[in-house]
Amino acid sequence: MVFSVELLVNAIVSGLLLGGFYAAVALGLSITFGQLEIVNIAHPTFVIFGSYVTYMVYQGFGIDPVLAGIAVAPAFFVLGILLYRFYYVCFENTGQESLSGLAFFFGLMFIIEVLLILVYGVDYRLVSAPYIGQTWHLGFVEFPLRMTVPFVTAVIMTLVVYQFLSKTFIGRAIKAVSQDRMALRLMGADPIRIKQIALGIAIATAAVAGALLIIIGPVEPSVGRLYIGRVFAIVVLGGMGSIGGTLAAALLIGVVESFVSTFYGPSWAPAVGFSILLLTLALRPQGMFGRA
Amino acid sequence: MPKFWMAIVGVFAAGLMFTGLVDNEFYFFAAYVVLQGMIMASAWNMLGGFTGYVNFGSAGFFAVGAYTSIALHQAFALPLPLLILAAGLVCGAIGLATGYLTLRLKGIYFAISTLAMAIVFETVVNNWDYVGGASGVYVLAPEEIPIFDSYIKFLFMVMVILAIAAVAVARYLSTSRIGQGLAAIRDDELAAECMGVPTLRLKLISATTMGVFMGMAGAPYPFFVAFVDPISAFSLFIAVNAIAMPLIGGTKVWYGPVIGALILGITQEVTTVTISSELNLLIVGVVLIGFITLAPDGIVGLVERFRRKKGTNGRAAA
Amino acid sequence: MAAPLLDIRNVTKRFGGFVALEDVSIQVDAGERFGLIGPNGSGKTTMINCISGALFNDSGEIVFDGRDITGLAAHRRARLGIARSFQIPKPFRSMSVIGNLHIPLEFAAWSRIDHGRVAEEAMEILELVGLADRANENCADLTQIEMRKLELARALAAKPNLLISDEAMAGLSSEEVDEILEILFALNDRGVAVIMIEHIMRAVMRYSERIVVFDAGRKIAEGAPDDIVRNPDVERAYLGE
Repeated sequence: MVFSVELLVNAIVSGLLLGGFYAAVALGLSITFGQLEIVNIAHPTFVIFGSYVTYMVYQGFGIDPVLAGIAVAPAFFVLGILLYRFYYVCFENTGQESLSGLAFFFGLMFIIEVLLILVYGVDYRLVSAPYIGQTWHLGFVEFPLRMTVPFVTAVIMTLVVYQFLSKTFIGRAIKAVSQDRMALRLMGADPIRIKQIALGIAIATAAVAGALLIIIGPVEPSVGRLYIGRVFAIVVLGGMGSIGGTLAAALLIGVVESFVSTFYGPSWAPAVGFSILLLTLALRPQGMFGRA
Repeated sequence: MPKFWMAIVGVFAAGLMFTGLVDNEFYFFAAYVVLQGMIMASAWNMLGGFTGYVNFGSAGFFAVGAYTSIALHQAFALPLPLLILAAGLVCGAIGLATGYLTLRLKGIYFAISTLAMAIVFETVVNNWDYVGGASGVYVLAPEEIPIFDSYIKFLFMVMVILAIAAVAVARYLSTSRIGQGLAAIRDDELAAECMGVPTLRLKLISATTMGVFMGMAGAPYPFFVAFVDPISAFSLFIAVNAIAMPLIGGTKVWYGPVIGALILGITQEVTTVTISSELNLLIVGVVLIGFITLAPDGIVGLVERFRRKKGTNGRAAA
Repeated sequence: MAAPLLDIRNVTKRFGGFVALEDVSIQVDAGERFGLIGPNGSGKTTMINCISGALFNDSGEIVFDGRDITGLAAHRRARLGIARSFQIPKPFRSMSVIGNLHIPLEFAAWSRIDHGRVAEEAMEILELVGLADRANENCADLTQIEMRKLELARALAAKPNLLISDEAMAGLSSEEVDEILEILFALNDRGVAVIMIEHIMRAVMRYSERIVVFDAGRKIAEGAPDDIVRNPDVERAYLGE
């Protein structure tokens, strides 16, 4: 374990870049879990699905992966709406405890992964773009572009969603629906429509996050599972219902993972997210910025 | 009450007869897998079905049981029954500890924590070279085969005994006063607590018992497959099966997991032989979702609903 | 003068920045019929939650039957003899009506009853509240007032010394209100102290020996029903300035 300032600073920088990307992955879950109280364990798998769709679009049309991700986002938005409709009919409407819904998403996650394996096999898929492989240097600090581009995109996406939730009517309705459905109805908004838009947005972010993921590195179907711990750790640590908290927690976890990877080896990285999750649940379940 | 114990003796005797009469080892391999599923399903249901706290990390307990078995076998060459006990103790302790940390929170957080725990353990095992790390380890069956003329027959009977134990304990849990308390917790935890039910204590009992049996189910696994690596031991398939089987049979009763394990387990064995084992993955996922959305009370629930519609005495199962 | 059955001393409860209960002190004697009233949001349900153990107060003590129960888990308080009904009934949906009573009998009241007589005890309670003919039905099939009766029956089955009835009469017709009132009187005849939280004034006036009024988390008045009715602070709390 060679300890040097260079190594340390680069570990922090790559941790921040990675953390920004993690925020993109966790953003959708922050909406569904934080605002809608729908525990979509399958969200990371939707991200992987987004990676594969991006891959297909990239293969078929040769456009830049980030643009491909943004292009398929509307389709994913519709997918999110349909998903909410199904979930509502089967679970929310019948008053089932959300644990049945949880098991549903668990099954869904499993099915999507299996279908991806059946269609694409377990080989890694990757895309290439002019900036993948390049690195900016600022003194001794390295900014690999395959991480920086996703970082910038992720932060922009987070800011856009944050603004949307705070400033637009629909956005504030989404925030309100988790707090008081009746009041929302009295204000003239239909909770069901609001919720389906929210889930649509969440799944749409998964498309973009998937595009970013396949830029950062090659993807294969079971990669999604590595992210379950991370995203739930991020959402719980950040605090339910707080987009800003999600970003902060994501950066924090990115840095911790980067440290562990750099100084102890990358095979320990998957345990970081989950361990932080367990600790947070045990010690401070409302997270850093959550409502009590 | 005596009927149940007579049935137990009958099952045990049938198992013995099976080992005596049948020679084709394939049947014992298949039966082992089905019995393993039954133990895992019954154990899962002790917490998931009886209290409503869903465990997604069943593979974690199973694999820790398997790796405990491997580690002790390599270190001390202990006989299988001792390995099973040790695995049960270790996993029971894990169930107790994680339960204590997370069962005080809402069910959702518990469910996520179980996934977390499974991945943490998988990462630890991946980095533990003594048991083979990520590349896995070969386990040789002992030279002497106790009692039976082939090792798989011995393993089969071990699993029969474990399955009987798991089902008996599940039955005891559900029909005793503890079971009443667990059902109250499942129906409305706050009301149960205010009615004097010691909710945390009962949940911990369930979680610990679940851990014990999942660990014991995993202990013989290394000797069954001969090669163990983290990917197969911690497989999500095991976790999904552990949920799907009780769901198919019916989660509110002790015999639901038994029914589900028989149906799903036998189907999976047949599919593996006739079509492919990958298809099983898809089947179990679809079955899980199908039952969750359409028949959350499982086959037992469907039968109950059918009987109630026909006007027969509709007393809800306690 | 005998020590009160329930002694609440300077209890405060906060939710984040919101003070739900502020420095509240109340005494309830054994066998007393006690009314707790106040506008919505004044802290009545928070108070019951703190008494029953569903919530823990931030400061102050709660002493029951001479024993400090502050911080004691709810199920232990139930075993000591505190029972409550819920404003929105929370029955055990997978169980029959009589099955619902088995739970408090087998847990909260276990040390106080003859273990062999659980079924009989349950039946007696059902007869008291008038649900005996529904004993084996699933509680999903009950009407609104039957659910309320089941709530009270369940609390009764815990064999309490103190029973807290949380708005058991809300939304009921005049006859139904009287039915519930009869049950609560019969309860009190058996020596059970009852804290009644209600908005239906005629019920509270008829039932209570003593009334405490809450407003915005504080106790603003205490006394006999006739005094409370004439108290200008109480009028102000309900009607505003």
